[in-house]
Amino acid sequence: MYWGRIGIWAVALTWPVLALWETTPNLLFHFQNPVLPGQSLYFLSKVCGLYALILIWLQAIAGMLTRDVNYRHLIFPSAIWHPRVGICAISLIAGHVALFVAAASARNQHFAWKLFLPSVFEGYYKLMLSVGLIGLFCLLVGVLAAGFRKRVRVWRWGHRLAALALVLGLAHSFAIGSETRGYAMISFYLVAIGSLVLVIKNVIAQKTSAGRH
Amino acid sequence: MKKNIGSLSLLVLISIGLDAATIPTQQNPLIGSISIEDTLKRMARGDRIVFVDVREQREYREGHIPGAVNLQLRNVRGAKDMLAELKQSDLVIPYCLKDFRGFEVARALSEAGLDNVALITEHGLNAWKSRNLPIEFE
Repeated sequence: MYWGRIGIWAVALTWPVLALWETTPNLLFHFQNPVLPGQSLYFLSKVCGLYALILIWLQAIAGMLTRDVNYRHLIFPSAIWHPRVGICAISLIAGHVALFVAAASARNQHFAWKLFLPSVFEGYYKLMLSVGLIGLFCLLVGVLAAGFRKRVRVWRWGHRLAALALVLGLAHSFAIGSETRGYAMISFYLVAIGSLVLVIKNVIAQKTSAGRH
Repeated sequence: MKKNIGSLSLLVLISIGLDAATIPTQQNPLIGSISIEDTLKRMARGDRIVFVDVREQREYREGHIPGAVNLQLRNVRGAKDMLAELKQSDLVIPYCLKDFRGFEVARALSEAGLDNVALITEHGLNAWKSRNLPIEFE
């Protein structure tokens, strides 16, 4: 299980690098060359967004495998890593948003506060930004609910909003991400969807089996 | 949690510092810049200027600079025919809304061997629209 876990993490953490490398062969370009104001922040925002997506996917898999005696340590060595990685994921999402807003503010030379407002009537790009914002909201509720779910049972459903956040995050990145329709990220989507289907099937099978006994 | 917030704040501050230290693109040896007024003057003079709308197809269909071609960053390497055509023009101007994606395509086109690439100094379609210049719909 140890080497399997190391392998999964190595592949997962390499994906964003490959995705960026497809479009930006010199990954240090933005820090070695003159660029427009905010451009390096925009690049770092993309890095944070891609890594956040990977971590949320791993979180979703690990969360659903918690009760599986055979695979519960497939992603994390112990249960304490689930909240730790969750905090890292939400920090990366916060970084993604903060860096993007900082980049837009640097480019516009005024604080781009309008980016925080969701809108469905201002065209495709703004709509897909809004999908990402709603995903962020779901993730925040999901993370907060994680703290309460052991005391108040209904919060378990709140924590499951994190799964919706993953779906919205995937939609947001696929719709307007520059790298997210390259070969590297397409392969990630296939693996992510395939693994989620397998894990959900496993959870349903276990619940059905537990119901029979 | 506090450590994570601290690290994140540090990352944002370092990034802003790095960004502030960068030089404007006017001095970028790879990518030039041109004002909208100078672009319009060159178009009126008969120069072959090609606008490259680098946004997603759905955004392009919602309105673009008249005559612009649609090419996303991820497709630059594979668009050999389009690159050959762009090389023949006097000036290639990639753009998006505020030229974040526009800059990346300008960089990719320069790396692909085009030496006639420039960005609008006022940045992107938003600047074009703010001057009430025409927009083409599909």
